[in-house]
Amino acid sequence: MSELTSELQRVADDAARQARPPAAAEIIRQGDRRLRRSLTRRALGGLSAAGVVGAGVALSLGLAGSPSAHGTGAIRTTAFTLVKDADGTVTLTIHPGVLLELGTLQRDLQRDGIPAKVTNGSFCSSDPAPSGFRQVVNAVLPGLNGTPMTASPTLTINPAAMPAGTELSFGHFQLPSGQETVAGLIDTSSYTCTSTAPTGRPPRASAVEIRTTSGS
Amino acid sequence: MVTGQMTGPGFPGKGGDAVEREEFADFYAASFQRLVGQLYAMIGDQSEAQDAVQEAFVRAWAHRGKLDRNRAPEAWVRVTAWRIAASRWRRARDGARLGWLAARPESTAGPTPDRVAFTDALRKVPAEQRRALVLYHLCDLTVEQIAAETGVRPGTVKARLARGRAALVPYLRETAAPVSE
Repeated sequence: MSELTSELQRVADDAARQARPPAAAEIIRQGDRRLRRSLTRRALGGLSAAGVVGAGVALSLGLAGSPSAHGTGAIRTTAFTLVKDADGTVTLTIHPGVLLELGTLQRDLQRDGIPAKVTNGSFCSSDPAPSGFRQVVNAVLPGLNGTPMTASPTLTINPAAMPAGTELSFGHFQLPSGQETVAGLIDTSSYTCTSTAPTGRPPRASAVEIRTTSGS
Repeated sequence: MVTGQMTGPGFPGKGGDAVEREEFADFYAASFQRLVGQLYAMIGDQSEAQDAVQEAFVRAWAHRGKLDRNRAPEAWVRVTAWRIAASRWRRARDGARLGWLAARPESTAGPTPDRVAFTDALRKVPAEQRRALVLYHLCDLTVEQIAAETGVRPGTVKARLARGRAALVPYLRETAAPVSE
């Protein structure tokens, strides 16, 4: 090692010893918050009316933080809230501007007794789609039926109404125009997954589409 | 020289969120202080260096999906920290911020006259030359790699290294090795 290198290294080492790094968890927390703010700005820039039929609802799904203790009837992360009600239904509230952590969502849905398949960059569906989606999922989406545009999308899920052999399928896509999540019912014994984001409107009885649009 | 840069299938990984967080925390712990030291040698301000490196790590986590898995993320953080520091310098509209401010870390060994002289000489070296020297001598990058990281031609990097070394060599007890690619 040349003397120049060793002298520069000494200067750097002195400074390195003085450094007091914050906890990694704090860095991660700040990064999550930074990303949420960024996604919120983009989401608010592309709000549009949403529908069960699948028009664009401005929603970004964001990075989940650590879920709070399960078993109290509610799971809250920075991206979504799952509340299990006394009647057995589960209400999923997705918080705008927060990127969904898909693995966490799948795990938490299953923990609340909802068989689910959550995929990123693909969507799984059955043809024909199982009947009864609207009995399983009641969606309240911003901009529809008097729901304020600033409201968070909620899906009230009734696991008891799920036909035997079915599970909920959530497919999340990152599109040039924004983000899209599609939810539907699938037959667990027969389904296919596609990496092509659903275009147009899915049949209203079988799926709900939540889309972040940009400038549309 | 061990740079500690993470390469290969490590961070950012695809092992799920918990694994990603753990990998990131390991990466952060392994490289934070080293990067602060490198940035300090480049910009000459301890608190600015730490702030910039910290902010760079926040951005690294927020944008980890964009990090090229084939490129060492430590280099990404270092470049980002430099840009943050440079941006703050430009906003301050005071070129002295990237010169060498009065406050500098105390050497735990107690500065000898030689060390004080070297540090003072380093203070006078222009920021871009100091950056090239740090990248070459501390980060063990080649001239080509420095050119890519700093956005200039290799010839410019060589010139900066040569001028920076020329300014510092009188304060060394022996002649430094010539620059090679």
